[in-house]
Amino acid sequence: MINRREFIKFGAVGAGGAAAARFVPSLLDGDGEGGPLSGPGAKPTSSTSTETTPSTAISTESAKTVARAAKKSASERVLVIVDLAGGNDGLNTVVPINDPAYRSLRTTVALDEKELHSLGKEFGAHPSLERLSKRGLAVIAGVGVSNPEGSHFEMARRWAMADLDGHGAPTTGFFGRLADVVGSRDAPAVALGLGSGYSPALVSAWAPSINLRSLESAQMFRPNRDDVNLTAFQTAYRRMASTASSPGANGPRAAAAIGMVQALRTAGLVSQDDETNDGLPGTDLGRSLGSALRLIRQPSLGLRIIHITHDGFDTHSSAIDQHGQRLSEFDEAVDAFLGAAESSGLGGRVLVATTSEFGRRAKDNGSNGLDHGAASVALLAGPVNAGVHGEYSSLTKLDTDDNLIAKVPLGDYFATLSTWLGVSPGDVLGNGHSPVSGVFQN
Amino acid sequence: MAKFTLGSAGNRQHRFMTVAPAPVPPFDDVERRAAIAHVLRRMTFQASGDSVDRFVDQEPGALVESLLVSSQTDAKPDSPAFGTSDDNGVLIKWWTQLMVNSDAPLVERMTWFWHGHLTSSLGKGGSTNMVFTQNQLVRQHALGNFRELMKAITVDASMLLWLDGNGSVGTAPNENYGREVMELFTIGRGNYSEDDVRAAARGLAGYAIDNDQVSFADDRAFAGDVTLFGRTAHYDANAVIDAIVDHRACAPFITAKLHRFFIGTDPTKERVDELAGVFRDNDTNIRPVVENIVRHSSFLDPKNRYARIRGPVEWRAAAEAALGVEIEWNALWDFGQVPFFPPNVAGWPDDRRWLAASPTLLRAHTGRDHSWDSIVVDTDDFAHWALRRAAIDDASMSTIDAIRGAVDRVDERRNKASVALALAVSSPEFALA
Repeated sequence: MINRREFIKFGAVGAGGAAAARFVPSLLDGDGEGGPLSGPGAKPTSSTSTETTPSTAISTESAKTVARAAKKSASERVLVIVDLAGGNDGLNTVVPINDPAYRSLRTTVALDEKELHSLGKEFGAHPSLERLSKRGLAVIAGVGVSNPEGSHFEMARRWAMADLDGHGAPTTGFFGRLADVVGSRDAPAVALGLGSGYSPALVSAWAPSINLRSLESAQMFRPNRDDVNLTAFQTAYRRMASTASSPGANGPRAAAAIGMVQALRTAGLVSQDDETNDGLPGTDLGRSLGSALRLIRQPSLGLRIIHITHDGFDTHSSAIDQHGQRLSEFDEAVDAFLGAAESSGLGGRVLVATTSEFGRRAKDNGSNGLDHGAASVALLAGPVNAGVHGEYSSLTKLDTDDNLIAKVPLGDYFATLSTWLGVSPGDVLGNGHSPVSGVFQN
Repeated sequence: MAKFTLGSAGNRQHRFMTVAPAPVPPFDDVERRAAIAHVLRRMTFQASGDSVDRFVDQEPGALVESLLVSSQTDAKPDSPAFGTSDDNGVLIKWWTQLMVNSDAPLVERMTWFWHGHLTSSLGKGGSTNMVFTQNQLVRQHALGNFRELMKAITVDASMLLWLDGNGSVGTAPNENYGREVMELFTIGRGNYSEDDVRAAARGLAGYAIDNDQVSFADDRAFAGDVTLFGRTAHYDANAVIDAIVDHRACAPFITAKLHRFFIGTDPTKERVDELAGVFRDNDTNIRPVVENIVRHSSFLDPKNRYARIRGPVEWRAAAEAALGVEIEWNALWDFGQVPFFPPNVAGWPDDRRWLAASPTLLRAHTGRDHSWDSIVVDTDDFAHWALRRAAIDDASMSTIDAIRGAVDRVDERRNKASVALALAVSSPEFALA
C-alpha cells in the first residue's frame, strides 16, 4: 500500500486518491474478462460513520422518529455543487432594493430595479435569474469568513477544504469529507467532479471520489471480449496501475499509477450509450449537468455529490455584461436540470447549491468593474423554501478594506449543506456550526 | 557559436522504424540513455528516442552545456502565417511546432515557463497579434533580465487587457494587476498588505488600449503620492515594478519556481538562499540562475528523474515523437491545457491535476488512437523498442512486464508494435518528466 503520509505530502492526486489506492486489488482482479470493475469493491474494514446524527435543526420531542424518517430520505438525496469560480458578486446577484447605499456604492455597476425578480419585499434577484426565480430560489445572504483575504487561491483553498479560520491545514476537501460519511464503498463513485477536471473540494479520506472532464473517454475501458487488442491493452494497463499499491510506492510515480486506477474506475460510470441531453443547454455547465443527471438516474452507482466548476466571475471590468452572461448560463442550465430531474422522478431529492471563493468589492472601480471582495450570497435551488435566508451584509458598515462583512459564517452554510445529506455538521466541520434554519422544505 | 541541431532532425515523418533486436533486460546502455533523456525532458520539448540516439555519445553534462550555448541567440523564429480565418489556431500550432523544432530548445522551454507565469489569454478579447507580440516579448527576455521583463510585460497590451490595467484610472483604480503582480508574479502572498495593493494599483493607472495600441495619459494616472511597502512617494508603473522587484521576497519567489520547473521539487532553504543570491548578485538576470540550477548536482541526480509531472503540452510533444504521428493541437482542449488559453490568472496551477482521472484517460485514449497507423517494425522485443522510442528506456519492471504481456497476447507484428507504443505513452513513467 502507498505510504499514507507520503501520499498526503504529495497531495491527494486527484480527489480520492487514497481511496483509489485501497481499491486497487478489487480493480485488478478481472484479467480483462469481467471488466475493470467486475465484482464488488472491498468491504469496509472498520465501521464508518453510518451512525450519523440527525440534522441539528430537529430538536423536538419526537426528534428520534423524525430523524429516522429524515435519515431514510436523506440517504436518497444528491447534492450538486456549482462553484461560481472567480468570486461571485453577491450584491448584484441579490439586490437589497430598499437600501439607498446600493446606488451610491454602485455608480456604474448597478442594475435597474425594474428588471429584478422579486424575492420578498426587500430583495430582487438578478435579471438573469429569471427561470430560477420562478421555480423558487433560496438565497443564503451574508455568507463568508471573519478574516477574509483578497487572494483567489487562498480563499478558494479555504472554501474547498472548509479551512474556516484559515489557520488549519485540512488534507481532505469539505465535500470529500461529506462523501466519506454518506458514501458506500461499493459505489464506483460517491463524489464526482465534472468540468474542470480537478476539485480539491472532493479530496476524500476513503470514499471513491473522481474528477472527470468528459465521461466519453472512459468508454475505452469498458470490457469488449471481441477486441483482442483492446483487451490486451486493458489488461496491461491494469498491471501498470497496480504499482499504486506496491510496497514502497510513493511520490509522483505512485501518484501517476493512482491516476490510472481512477481512470479505470470511471469505466463503471459510463452509462450504456445513453446520450440523451434531456433538453439541457449545450453550454459547458449544461453538458456537465446532463452528465450528472444520467449518472444520478442510476442509483446503483451510489453517486451522492457532484461538483461542477462554472467560472468567469472575476469581473474586474465589464462587470455588468459578464456577470449577467454567466448568471444567465447558470439560470438556464440549472433550471433545465431540475426540470429534467423532476421528469425522472428525482424531484425533491436533488439540491443545487453554489460556492464561490469571495464576493466583489462593495464599491465599483473606475473601469466598470468590481475588485475582489469578501462576503457574498449562496444560491440554492431544488426542494427549498424560496426567499432570502441568513442575514444580508450591511452596505454602510464595511470592513477596513471596504468589503461586505459576513453575517453567516461559512461553517454555518456548510452545516446547512451537511444536513441536506443527513450528516451531522460536527462530523465534517467540528463543533459550533449551526445550519441556517428554514431553507429546506421538510 | 555551435548550432544546436536537434529540432528538424527529430524526423517526425519517419514512420517506418527498424531497430536491431536488443538483449532483454538489462537493456544495454540504459543508464546513459536515461540520463540523456532526462536532460532533454527537462531542458527541451524534444525528448524522443531519435534525440537520445543523436546525443547518446555525449556525457549528460556536455549536453547541458550545448543546450545552454544554443540558447544564446538573438535569432527570432519566423512569424506565423497569419491572415487566415483562424489566426488563433495558426498561432497555437506555430508555437507547438516551434517547441519541437527550435534550434534553441531551451529558449522555447523558458518562454513556456514565463507564459505559465506571466500569462495572458486569447480568451479575454486580446487579438491574435497582441498575444503574439507578448509571446515575442517573453521569448526575447526568457533568459534575460527579470526586472526588464516585468517592466515590459506590465505595459504589454495583452497583459493590460488580461489583468484590466486597460482603462484603469487613478481616481478609482482597477486592482486586478496591482494584486496579481505581487501575489503571482513576484513576491507571493503574505508579503504585501491590501494597502500595498491599492497603492500599486494607483501607481499603475493611466494606461489604455486603442486599436491594439497602448497609450498612457497623465490625466488618467494618479497624481499624488502613495505609500508602497512603507515608502511614500509618487510612483509610476516603472517605480512600482522597481519597488516590487527590489522587495526581499522577490528573489526567493522567482528562483524557487525556476528550481521547481527544472528539478521538480521545492528547493531546500539553503538552496533557495543560494539561488536568490545568484539572482540578486546578477542584477536579476535570469540566465545565471538557470545555469546554476542545471549545473548543480541535483539536476542530473538519478533520484530526481521522473520527479516532475508532465503537463499536456509537454506530453503531446513527447507522444508525437514516440508514436511518429501528428496529434492535432486541438486535442489539448480536452486535456485542459491550450497555449494562450490559461484557465485563470495563475496560468496552469497545480501540476497534480494532470494525474487525475480525466487527463489520465485522455493519455491512454490518445495513445491508442494514434498507434494504429501502419507501423512496420523489425524487432524481437517490442516492449524494448517502444520504450526506446518513448525515451523511457529506464521504465520500471512492472511497466516492461505489462507491455510484454500485452505483446504476447496479440497477433501480427503490427498489432504488437501498436499495443506496445500505446502502452508506453500511457505508462506512469511517460506521465512524468
